[in-house]
Amino acid sequence: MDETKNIQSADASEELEEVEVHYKEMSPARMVMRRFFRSSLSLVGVVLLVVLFAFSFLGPPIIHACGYEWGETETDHTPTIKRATRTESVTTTDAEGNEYEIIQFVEEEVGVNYYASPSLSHPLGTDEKGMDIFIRLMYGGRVSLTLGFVVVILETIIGIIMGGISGYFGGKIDQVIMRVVDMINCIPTLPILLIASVVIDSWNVPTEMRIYYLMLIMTVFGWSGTARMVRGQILYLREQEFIVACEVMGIPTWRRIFKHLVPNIMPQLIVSMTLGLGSIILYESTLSYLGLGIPLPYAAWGTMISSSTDPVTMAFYPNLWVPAGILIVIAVLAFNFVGDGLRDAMDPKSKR
Amino acid sequence: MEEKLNNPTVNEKDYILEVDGLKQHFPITKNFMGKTLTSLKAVDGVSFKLERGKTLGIVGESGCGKTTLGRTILRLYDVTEGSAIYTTVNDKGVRESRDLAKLSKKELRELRTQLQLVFQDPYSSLPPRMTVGAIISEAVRVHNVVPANEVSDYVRLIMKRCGLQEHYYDRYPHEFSGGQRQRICIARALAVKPQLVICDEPVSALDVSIQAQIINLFKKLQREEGISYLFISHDLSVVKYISDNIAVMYLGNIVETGSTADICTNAKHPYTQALFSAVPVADPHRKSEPAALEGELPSPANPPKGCKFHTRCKYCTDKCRELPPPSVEVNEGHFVACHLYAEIQ
Repeated sequence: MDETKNIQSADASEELEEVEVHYKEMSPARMVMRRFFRSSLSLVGVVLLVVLFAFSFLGPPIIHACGYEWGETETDHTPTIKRATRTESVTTTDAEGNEYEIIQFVEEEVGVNYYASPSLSHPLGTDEKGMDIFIRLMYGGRVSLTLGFVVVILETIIGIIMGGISGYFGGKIDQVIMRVVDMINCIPTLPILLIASVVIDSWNVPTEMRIYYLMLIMTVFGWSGTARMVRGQILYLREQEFIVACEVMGIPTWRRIFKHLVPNIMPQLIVSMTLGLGSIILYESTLSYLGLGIPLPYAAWGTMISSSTDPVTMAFYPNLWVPAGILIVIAVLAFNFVGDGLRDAMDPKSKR
Repeated sequence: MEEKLNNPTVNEKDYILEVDGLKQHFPITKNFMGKTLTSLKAVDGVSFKLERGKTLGIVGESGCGKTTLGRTILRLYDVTEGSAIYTTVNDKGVRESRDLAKLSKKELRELRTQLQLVFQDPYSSLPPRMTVGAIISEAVRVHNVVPANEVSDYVRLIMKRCGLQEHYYDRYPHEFSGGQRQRICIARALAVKPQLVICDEPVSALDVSIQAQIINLFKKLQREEGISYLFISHDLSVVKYISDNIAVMYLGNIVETGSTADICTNAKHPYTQALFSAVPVADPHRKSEPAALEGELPSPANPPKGCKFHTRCKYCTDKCRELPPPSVEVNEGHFVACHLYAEIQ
């Protein structure tokens, strides 16, 4: 009898302990992680991003170690026989009066293996200069991904600071910042960029350094949209009672802006960041086209697409531009997936 | 600005807050020089005294300036005129008085821990993306109320005292009901060890059973901590229950003030009488009286001349239309601002 009683009481205490454990709460950071990885789309996004980064940054050294012979700017100089795209037809008449049309296909041996079709030595063929497309995709990814990331983050930081100051303090500061934003928005970007490209050319900037100038220029012209959005949101939020509560609590101003206001505009910020990333990668190609971006022979995804603009390349050599396009699409999608996932995970009101 | 009263008279009552002629006018139109042409007189010359450790209830209908009064005392707006003397007593019994209306922003920040506000709406007054623990501990950390390594334990203690379980620490406000949220608001205000808490209709957004819990929590905290309350409400039964003194506000002025018993049983001002006659009685057979008050509250941007209540007062005379009534002491501590208080009974 006594024994059973003991067992019962032991059971009861165990149950109590279980109840205690059940009540233990997860820390907010762990909850965010858990919600993020519970969504399969955000997992897909993370995997895609990891693959893309590995492809770009780890790809070249690995593939070279495996004996891949082509480099980023290396031209394939193997002599090849090319059937020229041009045909000639000559009409002749023989002695009997029959008319013949002779069509001549011109084949010539050239010193550069350009427009090569995909083969074992060139998995995606070569471009019009005889450079290997596959390896250029890898090196191009380095430029495009770094550029996209850095510019989006810089834009957002500047946008949060300027928009936050503008929206929170209002009055004259708001007027000044918003007029600067208006100015940036209404200046036609292209002429300014043309001028800037000439100026930078005249400075004799080394080719490797041009990417930093490019980042700078894109940030200068890009932060205004974010700043406007942040300002609008803060104008709405600062009238909320929990901000008045901050005032009563004597919370310092910077803390009010960056701890109370900015976290509440994270969803909108993440959406604008993920959307901005794709357009920045494409924008880079425009700038490259103007001679402001990554100059040839260096590769970037945008540049690779924009260099195949003639109808012949578009029609007959899709291997020049389709792979770069696909990679851009994948990058943008992956960022969107991760952004959506983060936004949902950081919303405390979403389901656990 | 800062006067130190080193020898408090023994008989003198210890007032924590003495408001004198406080005015809060919001500009509506300005001329091109920036001078205010017309203004909304939300609080128009309010005077009252609040004893340390006691509760002063402020009642009045919607739009009479109750909330503005509370926020003006906390300097959430820049005071137009008047003074609000806040007196602290340190460990040695030395009293120090400061005029809240004239303090600079920096001096005010040092006082922020001593004056707190509990909001009407527990849904919008908590930041949605912070956990309960972070909300309560934030001001504690900012003002170094307790040493940094003890903050977490201290906050849990405060939560317990406000009727919140400790494991709520890492939860978000949206997971709680209105009553629990109001407990979080109270815990947040209480965590910085305030002397004076201004309660801005803290229970009007809650249902009745929860109201009783929250009010009892307020009373319990007052007993334990000796906090003084300025309790703003339009619910007379709530105010009657919690207050030691009541002030009745009408259109930016206090029309009658006195002890709770005086106001409830021996109201002199026709507006106070009308307010109390409008309290519903739980008796289905009781014949309903004709409406004691007719008409709307006049616009505070253009208040009536003379006694502000004359437009709705059934005893109104010519004198009321011309002369603003002075505040007369009819009983000890019972003041009425009415020309006719002696005649109306």
